[in-house]
Amino acid sequence: MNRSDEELVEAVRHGDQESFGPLMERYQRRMVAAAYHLVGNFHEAQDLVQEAFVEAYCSLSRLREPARFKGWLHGILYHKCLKYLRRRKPAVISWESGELDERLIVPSPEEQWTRDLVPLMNQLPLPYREVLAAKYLEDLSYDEIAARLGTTVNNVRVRCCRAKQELRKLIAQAEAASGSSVQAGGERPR
Amino acid sequence: MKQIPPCEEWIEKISADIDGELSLPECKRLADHLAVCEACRLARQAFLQDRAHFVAAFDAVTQGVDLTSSVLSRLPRSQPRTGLGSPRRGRFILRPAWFWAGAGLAVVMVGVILGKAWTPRKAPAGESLRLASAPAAMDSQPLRARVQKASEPEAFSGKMATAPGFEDRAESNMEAPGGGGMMGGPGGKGGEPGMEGTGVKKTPPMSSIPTSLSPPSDQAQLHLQVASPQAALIRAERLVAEYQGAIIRSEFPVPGGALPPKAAARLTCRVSRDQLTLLLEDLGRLGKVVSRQVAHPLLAERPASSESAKLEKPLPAGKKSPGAAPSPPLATLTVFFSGPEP
Repeated sequence: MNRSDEELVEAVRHGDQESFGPLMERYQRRMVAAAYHLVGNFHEAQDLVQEAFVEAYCSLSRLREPARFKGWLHGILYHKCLKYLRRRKPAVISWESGELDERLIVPSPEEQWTRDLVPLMNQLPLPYREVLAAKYLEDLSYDEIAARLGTTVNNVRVRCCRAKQELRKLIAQAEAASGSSVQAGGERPR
Repeated sequence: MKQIPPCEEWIEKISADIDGELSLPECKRLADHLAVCEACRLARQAFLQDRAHFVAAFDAVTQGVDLTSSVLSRLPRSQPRTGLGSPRRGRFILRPAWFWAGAGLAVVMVGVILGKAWTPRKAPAGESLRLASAPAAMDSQPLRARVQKASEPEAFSGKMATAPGFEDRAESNMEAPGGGGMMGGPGGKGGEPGMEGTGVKKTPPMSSIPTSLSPPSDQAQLHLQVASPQAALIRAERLVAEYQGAIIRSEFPVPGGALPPKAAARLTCRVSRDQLTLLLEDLGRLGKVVSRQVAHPLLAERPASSESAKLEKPLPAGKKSPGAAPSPPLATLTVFFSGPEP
């Protein structure tokens, strides 16, 4: 039986730490995806998600509406990502140093397929990445996105539309460069 | 084949429709438009494909991600119950209260300190002796010792009229024949020990003379026995000038009838009350001190006979002696110079 977010949150509040596990399993993948999209580093994204979960657990008693746990949790992660982006120094990768991750040299087919898309998406400006991650990965409404970004619903609507147009251009360029479009859906090349 | 761009006015609605943010009437109008616009239909299809690409890509990246055990191992044993008194809430609500309370206290303290530092000394006459009990008294002797010495007849050998407007009174007293004035002690005419020939011996040493009662009173009198009254008068004038004092009258010889009888020269000046004690010390080095008197404003309001007793019982704090007027910031000093004894 699937328990709602509200029930799980109340259980955790009453001392049932194990109830926090289902909440994590429910959201962790999308949270990692959203963090990855925002910060552009998969390992950092995982660390940020773990920090966000710990902080959420410690602050759970301050959540006034347990039914809105998802948005609240993603809000914590979002601010952690922004904080990370502010303090992050530009990464410098030296091809001569031999310190590159081997995955970049010999990527698996799965990673190669992802790398065809994710770098494109990460080329988008941060305002567009914010709304795309919030809408496609976190499944937030325009109202919730507007509240998080401190702007109006109409602004979010316009920003979403422009982000999609930019994403369309990038994918079209990638398709033209590779000569074939990237397969959409769950069929990933292996 | 070049793709026809979608209609500008419909592209936002297409995007919102994909996101499920379009109202029902808008959905109907968009459907009507899409039925007749090939470009907008293609654009909508492209948006849907991109969305699928987007989600699929990140799903692929995050497949196999499991942070549950890692996070659960980092969680504290018990879920903190912060409630309304949570640290964050306290931080934002209580901190301003602390801040303003501390700031208010600091402002009050600074005001008090500045007020004390800048208020001129206008202590009423009745409060002068009580101020002597302050730790910052100039004399290192204990207060009780000083008060006791002050009460000794040798120390305060004469009653000095130090009522407000003393200058005129002092002048009149000095000019009054037969004593009973400034130099006239409680003992009667010419009661000054030094004037009787034995006073020099009875004059207490400088260290025990109660001139160091602080703050200095507004009237003092010094009688010196010097080899040359005229030369001493000149040196005294210089000393007064060094102490930023103002000479009121410098007389040599002293008109007849002035007190003490053997005084050959007299110097009347006004100096700062704070400088009076030091000036008296310096003047005392010009010759032999026959007598030195510092009139306390408190004494002016009391009978001479009860001075000593009342000196030991200062007025309670905050209670002024009746009729006492605020002391002037300057003190009047009269120095008598008498020649050597034959």
